[in-house]
Amino acid sequence: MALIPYPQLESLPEEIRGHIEHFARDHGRPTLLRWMLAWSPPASAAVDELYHPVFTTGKLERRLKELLFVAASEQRRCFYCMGGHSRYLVNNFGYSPDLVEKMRRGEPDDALDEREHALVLFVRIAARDGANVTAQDLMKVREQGWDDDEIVEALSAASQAFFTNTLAQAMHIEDDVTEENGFDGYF
Amino acid sequence: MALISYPELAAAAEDVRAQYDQHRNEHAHFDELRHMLVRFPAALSAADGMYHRIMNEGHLGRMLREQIFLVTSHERGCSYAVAAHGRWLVANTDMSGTDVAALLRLEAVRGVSDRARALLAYTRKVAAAPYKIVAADLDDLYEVGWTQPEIVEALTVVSLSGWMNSYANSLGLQGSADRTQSAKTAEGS
Repeated sequence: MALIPYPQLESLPEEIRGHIEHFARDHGRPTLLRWMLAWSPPASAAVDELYHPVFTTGKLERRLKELLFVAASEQRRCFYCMGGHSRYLVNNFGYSPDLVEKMRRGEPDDALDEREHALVLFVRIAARDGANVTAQDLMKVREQGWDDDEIVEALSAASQAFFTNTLAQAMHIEDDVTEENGFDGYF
Repeated sequence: MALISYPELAAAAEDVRAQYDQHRNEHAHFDELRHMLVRFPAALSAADGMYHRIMNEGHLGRMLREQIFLVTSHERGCSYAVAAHGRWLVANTDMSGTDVAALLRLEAVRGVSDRARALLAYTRKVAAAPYKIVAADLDDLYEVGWTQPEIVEALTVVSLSGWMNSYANSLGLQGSADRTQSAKTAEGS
């Protein structure tokens, strides 16, 4: 159970309630983190400015960014973030749950080329503790052909994980358990 | 020195340069990080949007938000953010550099109530290991009068500092001298 009670939906400002209901309509489930953040309408609006622009624009494809995010969240042991986005990878990109688990742990697999695998390992280092990132770590991803713009973009996954993992872990947000369409597991 | 070179601003798209310049003029925080994020404009825009909302809007005062940012960045070893927020507190409040140093140790500081220090202690614990937070930590806050919306707001500041600390630490950012050195290196001097 979450450490802080969720705010009453009917007591929320219309705009905030609209965000939560819109998400529930689109995804067949509420987003508990967004619901909790409704305690702070500015934070709720800030998350809107963070998630979609960062995940849907740039040079790296969405699939890879989602994978980097779950790898960062796995490194930081955030089951809420890891579970929701791992399920997204299964339902939207056709990976099996076993494969997602393997990839997010940073283990090599034929489904992930050497170049992408190097980026996953790099982001996991940044997610554990950014201060641990060294010039050698950067060299390894550059050797795989990633340029500095792409590396800065990849690091957004680690930063994003810091943001949402902190909230989810500190408030003990429960798993988003309902998915009307597709795979409903949480892992 | 930063692990990645700062991008040439002149080579950035016009709207990205405008974004960089606009908020650069609004506040002096994190100029080096924002300069680096020109490499990924969506993150630059997100940083500005999040920072503006989370640090300025809501129930908690700006000074307390700055203190939360300072203390949590210190907990994560982000000297870059600690320096930026320490400077802000000295320049914009009655706090001295000595006060800032004492606050980092969560010692009593003039102008910082025990109630505020309780919230700062909680946010520092969150920054260190958010999964270790338990109901008793919240009870301590409720006891001194903090409400659920205020606590959630404080958590969003901890999360925002985490977002920025992660970027700054991963990129090895150190401050304005670091960027000057980077430019000199790029020019071969």
